[in-house]
Amino acid sequence: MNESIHAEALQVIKQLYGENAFFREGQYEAIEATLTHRRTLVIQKTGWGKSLIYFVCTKLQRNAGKGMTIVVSPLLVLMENQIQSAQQLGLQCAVLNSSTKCQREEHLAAMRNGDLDLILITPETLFTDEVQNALQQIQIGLFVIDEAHCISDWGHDFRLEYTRLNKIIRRMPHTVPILGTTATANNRVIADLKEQFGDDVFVSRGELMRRSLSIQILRLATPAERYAWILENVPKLAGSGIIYCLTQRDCEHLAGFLQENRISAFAYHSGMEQNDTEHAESLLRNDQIKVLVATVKLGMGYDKGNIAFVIHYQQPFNIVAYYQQIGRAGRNIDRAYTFLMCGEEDRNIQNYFIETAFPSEKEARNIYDIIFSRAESGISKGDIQNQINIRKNRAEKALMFLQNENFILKKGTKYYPTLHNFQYNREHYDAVTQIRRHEQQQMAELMGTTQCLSRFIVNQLDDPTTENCGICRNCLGYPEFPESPSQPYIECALDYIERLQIPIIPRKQWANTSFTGSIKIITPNAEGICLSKYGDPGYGTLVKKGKYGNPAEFCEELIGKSASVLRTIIAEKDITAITCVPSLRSRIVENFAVSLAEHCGIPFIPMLKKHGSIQQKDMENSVYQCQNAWNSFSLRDDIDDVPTRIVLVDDIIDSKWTMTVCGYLLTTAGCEMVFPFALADSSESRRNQE
Amino acid sequence: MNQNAEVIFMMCSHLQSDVSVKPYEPAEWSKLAQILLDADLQPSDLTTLTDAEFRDMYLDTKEINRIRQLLERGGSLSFALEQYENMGISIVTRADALYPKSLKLRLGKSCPPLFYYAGNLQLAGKKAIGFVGARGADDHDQQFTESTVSTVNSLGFAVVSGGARGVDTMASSATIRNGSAAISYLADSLVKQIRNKETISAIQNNQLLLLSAVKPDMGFTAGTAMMRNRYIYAQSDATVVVRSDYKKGGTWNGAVDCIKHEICPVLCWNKSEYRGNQELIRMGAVPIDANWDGDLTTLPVKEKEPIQLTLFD
Repeated sequence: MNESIHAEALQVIKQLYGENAFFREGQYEAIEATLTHRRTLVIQKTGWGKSLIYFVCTKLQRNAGKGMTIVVSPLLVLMENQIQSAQQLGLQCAVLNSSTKCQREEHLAAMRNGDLDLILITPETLFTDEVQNALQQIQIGLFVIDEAHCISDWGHDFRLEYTRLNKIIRRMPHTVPILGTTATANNRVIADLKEQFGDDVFVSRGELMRRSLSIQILRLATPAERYAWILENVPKLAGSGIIYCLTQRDCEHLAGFLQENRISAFAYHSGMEQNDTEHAESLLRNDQIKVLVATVKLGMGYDKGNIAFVIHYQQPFNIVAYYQQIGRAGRNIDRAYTFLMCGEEDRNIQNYFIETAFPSEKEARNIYDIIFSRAESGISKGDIQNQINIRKNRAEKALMFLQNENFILKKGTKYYPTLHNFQYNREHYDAVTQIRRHEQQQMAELMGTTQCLSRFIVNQLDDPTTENCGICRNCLGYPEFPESPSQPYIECALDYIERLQIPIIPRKQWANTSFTGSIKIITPNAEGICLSKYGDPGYGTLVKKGKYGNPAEFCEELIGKSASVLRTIIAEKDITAITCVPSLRSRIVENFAVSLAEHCGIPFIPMLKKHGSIQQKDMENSVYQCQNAWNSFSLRDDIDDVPTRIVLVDDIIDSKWTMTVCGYLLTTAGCEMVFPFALADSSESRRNQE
Repeated sequence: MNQNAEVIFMMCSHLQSDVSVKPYEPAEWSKLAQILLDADLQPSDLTTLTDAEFRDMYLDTKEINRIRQLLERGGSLSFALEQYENMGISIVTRADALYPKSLKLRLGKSCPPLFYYAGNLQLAGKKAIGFVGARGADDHDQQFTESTVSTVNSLGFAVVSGGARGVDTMASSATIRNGSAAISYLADSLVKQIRNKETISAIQNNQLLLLSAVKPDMGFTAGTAMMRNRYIYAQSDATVVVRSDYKKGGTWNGAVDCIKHEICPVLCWNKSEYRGNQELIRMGAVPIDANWDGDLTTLPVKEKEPIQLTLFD
């Protein structure tokens, strides 16, 4: 032990906690290691006091005249008690994230002047040009990576910022101490981090089991059962909590269901406006709502001491993520309840994300070649998509991948090749995919184990404990909460799910085709309605069956449901006719539209005709889809009477370019309002993880 | 990077725009390195020395503070470096094994403490012939340059030049077309150079190495261009002067400097119309013409005392 560091550090915590203060097991060792060993990794469970390590280190560094501490963290805010600690130590702290933009200049100036002792910064903000420029004039005395497991394997997060952070760490000279902290890491992650931190790493690792968390597993195959269980049981749980879903759409739907049934719930995901997520988060923080229905966006570093329950509507991808997410609960309370649901669709969603994590070699190569061919001028994302037929999200994935691998770089809005040779490291990507499959398997094993659930989890995280938690479903030997919902709740859920419709948000701007240029659409469609998500349980499955049945036709149930949805709208909007997107291949849509018109009591009027063309579903991105739609449709020559307000029917929508072009043609014929209606949406856009 | 290299980088790099503290210039660094050497220390020891120990080495308070301040830059410098590395630009210091050896041998203490570079550093270990000449070179100069480059390429030599317009570009383009390697010591604007498609391809094919002793986004200055000429001569087993003005311009000054300091043998195109060339030949440059066979063994080489090298020299 280094006597002088120990004496000084002890002085600091006495200043914080009074004369009788002492270090918890491992804390001092981590402090000394950070200040002497230079590369330190702290893997300790939530509540152990990881932030104390960097506060004390900062204090000692500053006393010695060293530069400031930078803490890179996905944390949303500095916790109340952290601010308090900092103040007691006389440390000047600030937070830099996207929501504090207006104060950013002020903070950066304070950093340059050496007035700040510690700054908490999100990885995204760290790599903005503004901060990067300021950093050139800042003395860094200590570099801390919070939630360090994020940088362990870029394949996990696929976030550019973490890859870059990784490179920074490798570049950081030995004179700057680096401290990584996390509550979640198994041996593989630790080995990875050690490799990145360099040869001489001090690892502080404690037991991971959280004795305040009880775990119960619920095997409920259908969404309706899970909705019902949540509705029936959430009111029985004291306090407020979080429900995690895998997709944004699930968050929206489930939050809507709970709201409708008088449970105060909000959705929380990256598809929302920042103001809305901040608002939702503050409602939870201040105990003003019962539950936040969130994607992993509400994950790491979310600190609220009294989260009483965490429910997983679907299985997370791996134990690391799962442990991290249930770790939000029960920080400052004696008992918190967590429920892990397992649905029939989980595996499909997981597989989809695993299989699409990497671009194919061909996709990556094609995009690289285009960027290379425009090495001098650079090329924008839009121009890349104009040149190759590739889905927007695939193109984005490939661009991210190429940047991560350092084959290209982005400056402003344009992409340029770097000097690094393009190589597709298939073996590595396959290995990452294998690891993910293995992790998926571990989750499946968790669902089936008869062992103590907490112990199973921490054992998987390579904490070798043989102790049981004593409070999980398996330890108790009985479920504390019912394992299935009762019938009235299931009916309530079924009723809601049947009513779920997806808005068809009209396109407001043309893609950059030779017909249109990328200009505003002067008469866009009205916001329409889509009955279901293609292939989802319920109507989504009926649509799929109808489309590929023999004969191909949509069943009475779909017609009846569509008519009941449309009747209200027809009355409200004073609509006088129905038309449909024409097809050369089959009459399924037209037949459906004719029946629908009969049910609604307004005429069906054929308005459009189709020319032979390539199928729209083979067009991979906006420009190609829009161009193809323009080539495929025109107005019929035999229209006598043009209705002013009309419903435009199609069976399945994806890019919405068919609806947009057909709607535009109808307005050129004289329609004033075109209301799109479709049976199913097959786009992947709302299948967003965050 | 090893710890000595890290310290050289922190002490000598001009990467940060803030100039509240001046990084060490090559000569200053050499002096400090010698002081360390005399005290049986290495650059990395600078990070742990106490004020008293510094004073024992006759460094004053001002200098000690300067060193301490420069060493505090490490964290922020790594952010700057990461940005360059994303483009494909790295650094190599005198403490790295891959630092061009011939520069150390021929320039000794006056070789720069660090280079920014793009491409494969191993190319600097190849035997090489330098090509220098005016920016405003004409078709005849081009013919002579290209045929001479082909001659030396066929003997397994790489080509060293300054990456400027005219003879430099003619020589390096020719050697790359021939499937051989080119090494360019740039006087400025490394970042701009690597935006060129041909340059990117040549680097990706392992045929081109660009080095710059000034920071990668630095513009042209006559002073750095002069220093740069020395690196070309020092990297080369012999250097061919294609076309030189008389008593003016970088080519003239560089060649005279090389002849005077005997950095490497100087060959010069024996073209009667070029007065500069003729004068250089008079001063000792070896005259050659387009039929030169590339044989270096007949050149007069003076024995020089080998320069003693240490770990971090």
